[in-house]
Amino acid sequence: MTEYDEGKVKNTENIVCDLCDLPLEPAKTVLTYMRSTFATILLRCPKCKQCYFPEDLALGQAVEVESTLEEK
Amino acid sequence: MGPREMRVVMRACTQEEPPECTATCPVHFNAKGMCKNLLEGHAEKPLETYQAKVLFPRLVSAFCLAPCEGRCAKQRAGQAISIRALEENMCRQAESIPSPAKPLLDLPKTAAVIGGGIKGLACAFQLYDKGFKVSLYEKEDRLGGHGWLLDAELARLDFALLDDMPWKVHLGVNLDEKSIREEIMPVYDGVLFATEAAPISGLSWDEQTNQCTSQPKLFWCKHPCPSPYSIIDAVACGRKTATSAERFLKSVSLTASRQREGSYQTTLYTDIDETVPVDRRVPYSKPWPRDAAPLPGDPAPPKGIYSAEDAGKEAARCIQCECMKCVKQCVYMQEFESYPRAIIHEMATHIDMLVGQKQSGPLINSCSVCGLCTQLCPYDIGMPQSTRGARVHLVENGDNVEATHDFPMRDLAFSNGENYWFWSHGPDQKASRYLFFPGCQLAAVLPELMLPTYQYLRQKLGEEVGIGLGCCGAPAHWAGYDEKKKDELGEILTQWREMGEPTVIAACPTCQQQLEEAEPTMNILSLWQVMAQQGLPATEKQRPRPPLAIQDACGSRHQTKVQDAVRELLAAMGCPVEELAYSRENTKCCNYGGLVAYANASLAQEALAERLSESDADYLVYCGACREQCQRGGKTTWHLLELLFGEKQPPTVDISLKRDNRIKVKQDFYQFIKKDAWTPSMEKIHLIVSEEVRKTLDKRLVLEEDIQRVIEMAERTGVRLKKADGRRFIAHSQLGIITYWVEYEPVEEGYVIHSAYSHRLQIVEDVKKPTGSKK
Ligand code: SF4
Ligand SMILES: [Zn+2]
Repeated sequence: MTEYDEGKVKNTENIVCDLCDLPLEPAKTVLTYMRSTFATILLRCPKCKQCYFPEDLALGQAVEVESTLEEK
Repeated sequence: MGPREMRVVMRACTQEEPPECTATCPVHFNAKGMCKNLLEGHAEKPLETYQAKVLFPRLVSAFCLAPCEGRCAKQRAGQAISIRALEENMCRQAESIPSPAKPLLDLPKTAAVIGGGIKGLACAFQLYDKGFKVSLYEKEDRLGGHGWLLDAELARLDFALLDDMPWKVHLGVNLDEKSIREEIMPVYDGVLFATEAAPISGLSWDEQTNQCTSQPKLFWCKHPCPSPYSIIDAVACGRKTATSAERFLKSVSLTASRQREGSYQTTLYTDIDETVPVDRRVPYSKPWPRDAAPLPGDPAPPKGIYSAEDAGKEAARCIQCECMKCVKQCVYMQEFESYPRAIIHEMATHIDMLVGQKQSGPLINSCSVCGLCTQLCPYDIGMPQSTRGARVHLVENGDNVEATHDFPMRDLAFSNGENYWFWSHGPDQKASRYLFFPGCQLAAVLPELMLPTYQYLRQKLGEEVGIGLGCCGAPAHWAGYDEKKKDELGEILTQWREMGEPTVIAACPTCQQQLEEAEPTMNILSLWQVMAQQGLPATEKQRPRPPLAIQDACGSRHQTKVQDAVRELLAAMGCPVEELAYSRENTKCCNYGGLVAYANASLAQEALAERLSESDADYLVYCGACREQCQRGGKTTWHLLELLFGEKQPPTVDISLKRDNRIKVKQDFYQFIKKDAWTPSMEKIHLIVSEEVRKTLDKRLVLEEDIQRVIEMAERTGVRLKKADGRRFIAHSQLGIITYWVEYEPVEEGYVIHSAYSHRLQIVEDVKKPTGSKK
């Protein structure tokens, strides 16, 4: 998920973790699907690790990655 | 069904079989391909193959007796294509005809061909082509034999290329038995006789291979030339002998896979397209007098048969024989631009290797398993066995993509969980003679009509009518979860037995099908059969209506009695009907079937749209899924029950409403039978969802119930994200294998939903949800 690579993911919307009251920061996050594991950059709470998977990512690139993995 | 069984089915599809012309031609020239090429203005391609097949294109095209035309499928609607004339035309118009290609191999073995007529030359050409060293012996002083009698000029042109052949040619040599035995047989690895008389005495000869069994290295084109002389049979005979010799020289089986040598009957099925012009483009020009070989001085055969343009027009009459009977009616196969044989082959390969083949997942899951293909196929084969079989196979091996069918499988769990599942005798009854089983889809789409239907049945059949609310397991059937299907059906059968095995009255054709299969002893009737017998309900108001087009359910494809009953009821109501071109056993699926909508939404929509465009009339359906699909497709659609009991059409459903409706149906029946209210155990938090968001959720397969769970968890644990405005929150939760995200805003009356979506990727490192509640 290239677009979400380091540097490109920024907390422009100023989203805050409501539990820790800390702004989210980009961080390498491990994902898994169809017996594959890989990392991508997501916004995440530096303390409790609550992360954010935005809508455009879920409906766009994630779908592509999912179908590629499903076809493997 | 595993890949092996799939391949058995696959082979029964005849789409790849040759057309009549090719199968009939003794050397299998592809006239269908020639016509296509001529039409496209490419005469070079077919000319090259023609030469390679017939060896002497000018002579053969002028004098062939054209057995292909005798069997040309076009004759079933008009005159045969003038195949021979097109071939002759092609040869005459060519500036030059390509010579045979150089052999790819150079093998050390040697073969002698005795006799340099058409048969002998055919032997020599074929062995040369396979890489053997050829020597020719001819008693006359030129090669070509019979060819010269047909037409000297054409023979001169056709035989010119013999000068370039690297064969050892011995002309004017009349070999007697002694010289054959002493000078030929010891020298060559194989000896082929292309002579009418027996070359040596006491030879035993095998008709199938042309091998002389008493002397295995000898071969003999013994079949006498037919009268009238058929040049193509002579070529074929020589080729056949050469094939045997070649196999002998390579020490492989002489007899294996030769069933289709020479003319044979193809199994290809072809529909005749009546629109293609019937009559020949120009009056048929006979080849040279067919009853005898011409004598020197006879008039030359006709020349210049067609202009290039006319040839194109004659070629255009060719209907390009192929089956595609099922494909023409199936959007799924059209979408993948394929036909059963090729699709099944691809699926089987995919399953065997589970690699690459980018398209295989969608290929396996996009068939609606409706069975129209099998119905149309002249050989009764079709896709469902294989597409559903492949799904079962993948599930059994843990290789399926679970997410594809996650939604319908959870929906099945919902129907057979506390929210819908309900089995009981009628009010104050201790037994049931009948059991009404509405199924899950109908109740989800037309909840208001379930109780009235039940009451009708009680009124007509007596008090001992029980109720069974649940799902027959069809989604598991379609998704390939056969174990799960068995479990669900098992639960149903247990309930049914406990209730004393009443006669089941099924409202849904698919339920009926599933139950019949699961328990062949079950007495099961379709609701429509019962109603047709018992008469219309008193409430039915006869009102004038425009005709309705009947969309038969794919589940009822083989339920003729059900189809009849539906029509009887409509007739009794005075409702005029329109029969769609594809109806009853040939009906087309609404594409809820096979769960296509979940695996390939765009295809399902396309197929549905095509079905709905078949008539401008409103549609009449008798299946809950058909009712929902057709209405979603934008068609005004009436379920038979709506005509019988309905007042006005209920609102179009979405996925969440379909769940609420099932709860409502359970509540209705509970109230009516137990005289008590039933409430679901999951407490609902109040959501405020705009019409627009609702539509988006429906498309994204996000249920209000999923949203409620996500919000409930976020509010309980405090794990949520806050947007900059301080009012909106984002929360997520992985429910099963799917992760759901909700953007919401708490207000006094509940929660306003701004958006929700889901993904299949799973987040490994994530916040650990605290248990218990927030501070
Ligand atoms: S079962 Fe129906 S959808 Fe599937 S291939 Fe046959 S006709 Fe097409
Ligand atoms: Zn935090």
